[in-house]
Parts: sequence; structure tokens; C-alpha cells
Amino acid sequence: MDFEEFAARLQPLNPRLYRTARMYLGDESSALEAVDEAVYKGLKALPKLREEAYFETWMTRILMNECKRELRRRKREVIMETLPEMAAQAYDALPLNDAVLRLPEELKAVISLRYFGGFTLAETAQSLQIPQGTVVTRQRRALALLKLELSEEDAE
Amino acid sequence: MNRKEEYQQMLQTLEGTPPQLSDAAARAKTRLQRRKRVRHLVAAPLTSAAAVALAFIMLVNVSMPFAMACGRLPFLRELAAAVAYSPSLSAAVKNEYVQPMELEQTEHEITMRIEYLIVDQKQLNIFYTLSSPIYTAMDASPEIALLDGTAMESYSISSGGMYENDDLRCFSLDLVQGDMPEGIRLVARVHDNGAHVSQEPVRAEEEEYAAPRAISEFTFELRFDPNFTSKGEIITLNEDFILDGMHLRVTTIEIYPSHIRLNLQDDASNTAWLKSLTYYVENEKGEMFGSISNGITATGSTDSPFMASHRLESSFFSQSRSLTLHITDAEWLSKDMEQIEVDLLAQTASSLPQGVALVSTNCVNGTWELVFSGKEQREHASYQLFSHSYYGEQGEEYFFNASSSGTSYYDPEQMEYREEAGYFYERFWLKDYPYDTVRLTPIFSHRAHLEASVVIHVK
Repeated sequence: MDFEEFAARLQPLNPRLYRTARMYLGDESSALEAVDEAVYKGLKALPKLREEAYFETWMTRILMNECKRELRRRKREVIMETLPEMAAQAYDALPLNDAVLRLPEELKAVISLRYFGGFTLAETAQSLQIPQGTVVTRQRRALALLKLELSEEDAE
Repeated sequence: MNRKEEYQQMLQTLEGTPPQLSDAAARAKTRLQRRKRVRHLVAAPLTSAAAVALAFIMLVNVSMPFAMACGRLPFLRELAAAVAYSPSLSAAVKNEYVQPMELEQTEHEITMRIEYLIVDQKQLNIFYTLSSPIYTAMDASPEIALLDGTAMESYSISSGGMYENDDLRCFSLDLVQGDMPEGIRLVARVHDNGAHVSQEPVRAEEEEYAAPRAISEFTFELRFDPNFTSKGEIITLNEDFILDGMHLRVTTIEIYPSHIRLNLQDDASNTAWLKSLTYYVENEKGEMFGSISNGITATGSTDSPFMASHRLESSFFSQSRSLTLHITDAEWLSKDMEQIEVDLLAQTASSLPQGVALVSTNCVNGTWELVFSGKEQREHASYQLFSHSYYGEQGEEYFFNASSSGTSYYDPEQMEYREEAGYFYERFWLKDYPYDTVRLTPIFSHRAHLEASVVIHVK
């Protein structure tokens, strides 16, 4: 894949990457930085991409790792508390955006990808390198905590 | 608005993606092309919050003697690039104040190599690389002890940054008290963030995603060249001066290859505690050495809010015959503002730090959310407004362990996100807090720019 094709395939993907990062990190500037870094790393590692058909999930995986890296960096400066799963009432009391931000990381990743990035069940599973069944379980748990009733049609 | 309506509104908000996204690929291409050009040693202009007008001339100088040093120590060119952010460490490398180590270990397809040390009486910088045929996004977490395994005390250690395989990385160990021992035992735990894995990892994967576990653990014994750990100059001044109406004493100035320490003593009659300074030291050649911009800037004690020791970039290698200290700005915590009272119901505060406003208080199910705004000192840079201790109406101490900082906040009454240019927002939560008022502990109360700098002759 050359640069022109890379840029062409990235164009429709970028808004989905941005929305995912925006929900995961909580603010526009962090999301833009994460997308920029993921695009740079994707371009740099492009010769190693073995299956061009998996370009989208490959880029998404790079983005999710950048987002996790940013959260780890923030933890050295300011601690963002995640709420325990049992504290359903606490989630219910928060605006939805804040509630998503305070989900445990593994649940937040699935919600960000599925319901804000618009990725399919299979794409989400490949991006996070987990089984599809695990994606289903995590999205169910997250939606229950958020008191958000969404169907599979809402996600895709 | 119910939850689904909130969700729909959030989706609508996210529809408008920032225009910068459209040329992300082009930016990446430019950055990649720049990286592939021949590396140059870069000058690192030093700036501090209020010293933008000062001209700092600590440069990494590509001179013939330095080029010859690079030939003797092959990795030195990479080392010079790795320390370009620090004028002090750049000068150390230029003057070959570097102890080569060349220690290497491999475990589970990860190789860690300790390349160099830059060490003096008070600070240790360990430069190392990580490489692997299968992991490409590795991080290492350090643990330090004395050579006999005894725990070290009164130190801080920092690490981190975003690196590729074979990039030169750094752990920095800073001694608040005491001198550098003859050596240390370093334990480094390496994990992978999994950006790209070209083969199956050696260890079995977790069934469910979890935070990265250490894949490899390395233990190195690092013994220091005593020529390096004996270097340092302590100048006793015991000079009194007045700063912004407060009485202070400069007791000593310590000059090490890695940094300068300006040690101060407080006066009981002062009405405020000193929190930070904007200052520089100048030599007879007009060279200026300013505040540390990347690392520890000041230290104090748990006994009071007074910050007794402040750090500057080092003049050690400049062969300065004379040094003069110039103080231009100071940040204070007034003694009558060590705590402020916030009325959670009325949304008022008894007093607030300079440039800080109480934006909102909101209680849901016994948890109070407090939002404060602070004026940015630098674009898109926030700073801590309050410490994490707070006090109830009976004087009992509480502690919150979570806060967030950002350029906007959610207004539940208006049901929208709000932001204001030039300001950031700090939020924290008081869980199950039973009272209507709370006492918070500000980090500072006010800042002062001195019309006439305080000037102290050092040597």
C-alpha cells in the first residue's frame, strides 16, 4: 500500500477514530493528538501491514493503544477515578459523557468503539484483540451501568 | 432529558469533527520525512513562565572536540539528541561527563541495555534502550535500592515518554537529601502496550484484556565512577533579602553538573509561604541559567507549605568566575489562605486564589462535584489549584483521590458543555460528604511580578 492509498483509506476512517478517542479521553485536543499519533505510527509501520483488508482494524488498534498510553500518562499527574461496577447509582447520577469517562477502561473501550465510533462487533473484537463474546459481555455491562438502552441497530 | 436523548445529543455534537482531521495523513508524512533526514544535534532554548524575554545561550555545540568525542563513544551522538531538552545534561555530554556502562540482559525476547550514566552527588540519569523482535511498544518501570538491597530514602524517580525500539530512554533519580551512594541496584519491569505485534508473544495471552503485565524483569547493579559522584560546589551565603515584602535568607547555593540548588530559609514574621520562583543566575560572560523546565523545580518538607529548595539549570561546565542571582517573580500561599471555606449550597467561597473562580457545586446522591476555573499561564497548560486534602465542619480531614482538568466542563442546568478561551477547569468529587460547607487547601494564593528584580551576588 502506498501513501496515496493509505491517505484515501484513512479519510473515511478518521472521523470514527476521532469520535472513539473523543469519548475515551474526554476532550477534543487529546483526541486530536491521539489520532495524529496513531496516523503517524500507522504510516511508519505501513510496510509491516500484512493483510491490507484489515487496514481499518489495524489503525483502530493503534489508536486504542495511543489512548491507553495517554491515560497512563495522565495517571502520573492527575488521577481520574473510575467507579466500581457495583456503584450503578453513582453512574446513573452523572451526565452521560462523564459517566462514560468514568467507566472501567475495558468497558469504556467497547462503548467508545461500538456506540460512538460506529465499529461493528467484529471490528471491535479485532481492534481490541478479544473474542466477540467478550465484546458482547462488556457492552452489556457498560450499558447497564450507564442505564442506556441501546440496540445492535443503534451501534451499527 | 432521558439517557437515550442524552446519547443522541452527544452523537450530534460529535458529528462536527474538527477540520484538522482532514490532513492528518499529510502531517504524518511530513513528520516521517523529517525523521528520516540526517539527525542534527539541536539547541534547546530554555523558557520558563515569566522568562520569555531572556536569551539563554546554553547550546549543544557541534565543535571539533565534541565530534572527536562522538567518535570515541559511538552512542554519544544519540545521547546528545536524547538530552537536548536539558541544557545541563547537554553541557554534561558536550564535556564528556558521561560514564559508559554497556550492560545488557535478555529475557523473553526483550533486550534491555544500559548504555550510559550521567551521575553526580545528587542526581543520576540512566540512559538505556529496549529492543525486541516481537514487541514494539514497550515501557519499563524502575525500582531502586542500594547495592545490598536496602531501601533508599528521600529520593524521587521519574521515567516515561513515548519511544520506539532502540531509542535511548532515561530514568532520572533525584536525591532530596543525602549524597549519591557508590552504586545502586536497578530493577526494571518491562511491559508491552501492544501497538503492533508481528508474531505471537512468547507468554500466553490473557483471556480477557487487562492492564499490561511485566513481560520481563531485569536487575542491574550500577557502580558509579567516584570522579563523577564527588563533583559539586557548595557556596555558603547566609544573606538576608526582601522579596515582595517578605523576609528570606539564602543559606547556600549548591552547584552540581546536573543542576543548581538555591536553598532558602523562611522568616516567622512573613505573612505568606513561598511556593515557587521565576529566577536565573548570570555569569560574567552574560550566560544565563534559568529554572528547570523539565523535572523537579523545587522541594519542601511536610512541616510547612514553604518551598525551601529551588532548582536551576547548571553553570558547572561554564567555568564561571562570578555568578549573580536574579529573582523576577514569586508565587505565594498567604498564611490566612492555607484553607478556604466553600459554601456548597450557596456556591460561594470565603476567598479564592488569584485568577481562580468557583464555577459550580452540585450534589448527586451524597457526592459533591466542585468545579473551579483557573487562568492559563501558558496556552493549553493547566496547573493544580487545590491539594487533595479537605476538612469538614468539625475539622476532620478527608482526602479525595480523583480530580480532572480540562478546557471545558458540563453545565447540568444548561445541559451543555461550556468553555472559555484562556481558562481551564479543575473538577473533583467529595464522596459521601455530610456537611453544607467544606474547607479546601489551595496550592497558592497569589503571584507577584517584581518591577525591580532582586539581585544577589553569589560568587
